Amino acid sequence: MSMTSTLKKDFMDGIRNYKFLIIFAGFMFFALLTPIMNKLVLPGLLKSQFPGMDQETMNSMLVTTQIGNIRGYLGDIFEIGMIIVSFTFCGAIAMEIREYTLILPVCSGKRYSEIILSKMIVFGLSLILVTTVSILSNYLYSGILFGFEIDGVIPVLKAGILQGLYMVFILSVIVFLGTLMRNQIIVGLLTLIFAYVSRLLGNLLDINGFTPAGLLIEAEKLENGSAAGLYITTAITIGLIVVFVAASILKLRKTDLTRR
Amino acid sequence: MLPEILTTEIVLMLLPLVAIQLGLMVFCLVKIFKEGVENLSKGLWALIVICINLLGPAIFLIVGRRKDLK
Repeated sequence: MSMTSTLKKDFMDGIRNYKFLIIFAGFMFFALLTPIMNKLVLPGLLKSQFPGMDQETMNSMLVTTQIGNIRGYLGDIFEIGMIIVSFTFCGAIAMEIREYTLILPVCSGKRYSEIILSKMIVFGLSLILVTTVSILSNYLYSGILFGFEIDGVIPVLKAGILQGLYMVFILSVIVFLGTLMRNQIIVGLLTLIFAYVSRLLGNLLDINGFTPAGLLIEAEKLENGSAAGLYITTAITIGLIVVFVAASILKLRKTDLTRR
Repeated sequence: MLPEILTTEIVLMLLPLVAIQLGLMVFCLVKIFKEGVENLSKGLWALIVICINLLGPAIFLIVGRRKDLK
């Protein structure tokens, strides 16, 4: 079988198991919800809770800018979007090993590298596409509600792609963990712990610029140009993706796919 | 407060959000009662899908959907 058929199989898996639907709905939901919450719901809520509060104090407690909204959305996606991504793709390899479906492509002559790379390409591209479309929707919504502040869509596109690249890194962690253990829920939980702890450690030790989480910090800046630090963070992230993919292929080669 | 800011433009902006939420909910409820469920009872899955915004349907599609359908 050629690589095209593997890609097609994973694409069909994404459709049949509603993986694309879940990530698209999840990301779009938060992209559209954040500006609407900040414009419609939160001011009303504050007014009803603190009737005597003056407008200036209220404005200081609310997000009233387009940039603030996009940053809020990016923060939401790291917290909740990560849960959606981790549990949507947690079965990518783990479940196939557990349900002995991975043995079929192996027996039909497919290489392990083909199997892993195909998943990374199909699901990775879908993640980059979804993050980019979602952040553009958030940009449009928050712009209509709060006024357009950002000069052009390039910084927004850049933020979406950086966020997508971070999600691809998370996908590589999921795939690697999937080769180590067969329980998909444990894979999802460990991925979440890994993502949150690595970001926390990066913040505490001030080394986020040298970890994939630095991509998210760079995305939140919503700047037009590219700082030198961004190239380092991107290179480290791509390097780590390659390491995790290679480790997954090596681990799969040593895994007995028929073991019950 | 709310009626003042609920202009046609805002209502139109709210539509995709409502469509995503309601669409997912109806889609999952149809799947629950037509195709069956795994891990929990149908009633409990229906409750999760209706009560937990977005994450409810997502959780159902990942772990609650019956996968052995031909």
